[in-house]
Amino acid sequence: MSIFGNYDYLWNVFILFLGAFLALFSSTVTERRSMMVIIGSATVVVSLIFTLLVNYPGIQVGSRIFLSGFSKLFFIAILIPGLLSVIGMSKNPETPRPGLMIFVFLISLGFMLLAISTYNLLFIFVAFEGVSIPTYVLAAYGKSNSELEAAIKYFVIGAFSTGLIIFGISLYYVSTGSLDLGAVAGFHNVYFLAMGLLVFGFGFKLAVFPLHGWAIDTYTGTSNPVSSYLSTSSKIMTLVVLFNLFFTSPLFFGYLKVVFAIIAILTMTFGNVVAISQNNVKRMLAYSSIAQAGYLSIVFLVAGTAAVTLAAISLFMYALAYGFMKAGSFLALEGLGNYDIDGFSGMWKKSHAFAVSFSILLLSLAGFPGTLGFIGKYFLFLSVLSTGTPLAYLVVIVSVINSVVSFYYYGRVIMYMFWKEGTGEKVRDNYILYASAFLTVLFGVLYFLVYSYAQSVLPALATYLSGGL
Amino acid sequence: MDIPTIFAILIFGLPLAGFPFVIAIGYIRKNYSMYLGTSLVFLSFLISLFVFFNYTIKGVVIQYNFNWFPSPTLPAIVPLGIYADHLAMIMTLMVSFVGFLIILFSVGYMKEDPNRHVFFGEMVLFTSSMLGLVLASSLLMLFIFWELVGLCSYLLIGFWYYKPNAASAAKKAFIVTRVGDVFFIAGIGAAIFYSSGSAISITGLSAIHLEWQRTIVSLLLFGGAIGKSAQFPLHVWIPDAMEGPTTVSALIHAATMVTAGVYLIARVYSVDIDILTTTSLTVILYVGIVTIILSGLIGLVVNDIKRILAYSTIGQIGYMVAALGLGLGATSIGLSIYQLEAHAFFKALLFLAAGSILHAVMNVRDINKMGGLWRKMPITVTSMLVGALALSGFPGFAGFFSKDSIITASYGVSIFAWSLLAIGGFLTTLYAFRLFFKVAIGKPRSHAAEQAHESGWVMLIPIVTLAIFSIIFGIFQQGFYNFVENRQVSGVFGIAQLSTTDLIPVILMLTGLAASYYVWGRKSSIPTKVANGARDFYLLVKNKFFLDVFYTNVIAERGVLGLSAVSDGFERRAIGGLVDSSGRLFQNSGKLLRKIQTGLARQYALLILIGLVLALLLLRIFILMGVIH
Repeated sequence: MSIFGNYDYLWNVFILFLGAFLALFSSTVTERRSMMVIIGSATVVVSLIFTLLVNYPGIQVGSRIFLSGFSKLFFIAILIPGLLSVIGMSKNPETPRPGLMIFVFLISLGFMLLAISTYNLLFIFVAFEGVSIPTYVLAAYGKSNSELEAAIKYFVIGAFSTGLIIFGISLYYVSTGSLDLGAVAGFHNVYFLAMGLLVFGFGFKLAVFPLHGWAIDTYTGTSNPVSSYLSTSSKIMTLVVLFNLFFTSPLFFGYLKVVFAIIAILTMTFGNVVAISQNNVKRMLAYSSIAQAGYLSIVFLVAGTAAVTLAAISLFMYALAYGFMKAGSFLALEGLGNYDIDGFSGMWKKSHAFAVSFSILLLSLAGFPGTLGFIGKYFLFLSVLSTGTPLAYLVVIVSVINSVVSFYYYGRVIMYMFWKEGTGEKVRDNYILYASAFLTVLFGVLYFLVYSYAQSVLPALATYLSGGL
Repeated sequence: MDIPTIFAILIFGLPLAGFPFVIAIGYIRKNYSMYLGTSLVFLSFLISLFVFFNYTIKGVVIQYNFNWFPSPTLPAIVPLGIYADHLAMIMTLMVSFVGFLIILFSVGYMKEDPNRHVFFGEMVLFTSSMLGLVLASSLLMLFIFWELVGLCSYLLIGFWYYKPNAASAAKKAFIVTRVGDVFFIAGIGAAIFYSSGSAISITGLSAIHLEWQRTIVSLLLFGGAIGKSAQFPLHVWIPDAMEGPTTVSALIHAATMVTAGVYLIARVYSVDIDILTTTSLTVILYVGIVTIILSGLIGLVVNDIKRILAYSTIGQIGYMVAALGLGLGATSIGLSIYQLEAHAFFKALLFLAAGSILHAVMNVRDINKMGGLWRKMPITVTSMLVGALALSGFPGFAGFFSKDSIITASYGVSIFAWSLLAIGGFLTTLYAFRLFFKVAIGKPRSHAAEQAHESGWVMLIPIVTLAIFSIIFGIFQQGFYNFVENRQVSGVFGIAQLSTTDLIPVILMLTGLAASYYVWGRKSSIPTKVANGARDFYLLVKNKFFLDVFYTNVIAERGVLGLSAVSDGFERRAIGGLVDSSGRLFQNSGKLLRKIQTGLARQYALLILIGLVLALLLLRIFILMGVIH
């Protein structure tokens, strides 16, 4: 059944927008929070099911959107943590108008899907802002000043980056005479300048060093569901946008690899080293999310080699793992009074399930075998190593050393939970945490199912990198 | 995957996946675990039967390899999968069947233990790991299950962990077999290295071309087999392992653990007949023979009913190893595996009968305190007689066909080996009937023995079934050889042709039977006289040739403890210092670097700008240098 022609393939986005307005309109009737969260999560679930069921054969939608199995994979990787975050919104952030909050959330999620499916810079820009502006609002939700401060910082740096993006896009147009990705550059120097600006403009949402400053304060300051959303879905979206942007510009590869090698090394080292000295678990998770961005960004080192297919598959696996681990661990903090590490002591006594699940997620973040986090890292490193350049080896070695370092601060929390005596009341059951931990282990053991699924969905390399244009 | 493949995976997959449920369901009602555990292994046996008959009809080796770490750019890293040929199938059939009978027996034997749900869970895991070991298609997968078997033996031997003896026996079993495992993993490494990667799958072993490489690989693998199969000089763990529940001993001795080593050698020998070179064959043959003689002698002086059976196991495994060491190719494998299966039946029978007796006499294991039990528990002790006859190779019983064929076959290889093997048979008869006469006839020599009574039907059914198999298993001899050696299924019944050399072991056996009746079947002072007459030799044997003392006092205390003190110092000072200082480095730099995080948005923006300028400078340098243009 065809309603809008090829636009039918975008029903997962439409569903999100429709759900957003449903939430908004029904808020005039009722302001019950549980109702709104149910509308929000049902919308995301329907959108996810639609995405899973539809086969994207590499199809041109309109003139600016191109959908392939590649987009499908990352739709999934964005929607799953989005779903976890929206379910997590059932308690926090506090607001008298939950309908509006769900509206804002679903709008931003819809734009995320659009941002990764288009191959036109202007379109990307619009979708990117469509993500940014609602998330500025989301970050400000809450009753304390810390959320407000977090949102302001996010907004200021976001506005600054928007300037860089606009500047980059205009220079791109000057040098190529087109706004499509993969356009042939006329003036090389201007083209490189444009790409350099775009790295920094788009990169801010990825929160890589030195663009990370806002992220730590924002992740720490805002409510847990929003932190989880910003550090998972939003980050994965940015990564895919950058992937689309750079893998279609062969001229830029030589510089791209070096600059991302530097960025990745700095990011993961900074994130891990500073995370060690944190006593606030939420802030530690914020730093670890910086470090994870470093691991994720080593994927750019495979640009222009035969390893791109493997890299895309492993990026999907790592993004999936990252979604479970990060969303699960941020949402685990829901219902704990303070985030100080002392509050975690004796957790095993208070709640077995919480202690075990949270440890699983932390181990997965550190890359412990048997979890999806390990598998994601393993394949990501494998794809980078298979390019065989000395730079790739250097980056992977640094990454592995960093993973070892990260065991220290993840392990510290685990140690507090199991071996420190603590007082305090029971911890409420947190089913999002349990589900994420379970799925992390399940897919970590049966990762070959994920792998072969990704392999079967992913189309031929040329189909998605050229954007079909 | 086709149906037989799925079924072949289910043979070990079903109990493996099911064992956590066996434990978990025990938290609802303890008895449910017993029923679930038993039915899981029984199902596994039924599936093995199906797969076996499917194979006899179709004759297709089930081979399925699954790439553990898929990668489009690199070659297969670790293939896991199943390789179910004639050898593996005949083993799975035996392991699941005997395992089922033993677990069924445990239902009666363990019915009062408060932790029986854990016990049944571990028994199921034990059986499934052994089945997985048998079906493994790659040496690494075999090793994984090999270690699982080791782990389960540790858990089960130490099942009554509150008894200090049981706890230390479990540790001993684990550590001693670990010595063998080191050789095994070195063997896997050497095999993969020498075959340049292809030996990661079992069938790739034939890619090792040079003779000395094959010798190294086969001897290292045999080192692993020595540990697991309790051959000289690593047999010391098995007598101590008798501290566990008797059904565990039965499972370890009959169906699982100790047969793993023999199976490993048979497995590699059957896929590549050249892997055992002349040197390694000689080593294997004589390790087997030395083991037979030593264990036979020690078996004569031990008084613990279960330890006598333990030494008999060591000796019987020695025959299997020696059969492989004869180097007759497929014939050797047939002889060895036939002995393995016959042994599984009568050894499981003997252990279960011993378990039944111990159940009746309140776990007093000293045979000097038994006696006269034949009248009290007729079915158990009659079955034990069947087991003893089968063990000593009385004509017509399973042991006769299996063991005497090995002795006869050795006649053509080496007269020296033949004579030692025949003497070993004589010793076997002596200690088997020493055990039987002391337990069964005469007068009860303790209060517990007077109070003994027959066990319940749950325990008797497995015993009687095993007794029947110990009697009739011989008629499958020819069919078995045909199946294992030539992969033919023609002629299920029939025995191998007997020759005149077969007479000598029989005569020795009958002499032994008469002698043991003369010495132990009635009141006699001969044992004391012999012990006093050859005092030094008696003490040597009684102290198990001082091997345990040597291992504990010399190797463990002088060697290993000294070495560990040295490496401990190195670890603490050098490595520990390095780790500590690198930890301090990271912590201090963390404190320094967090100063960047001022909390001021304008400084974050400044940082971005500095980064951007630096990146663009780098870009400019790249353009100037012509890296990109």
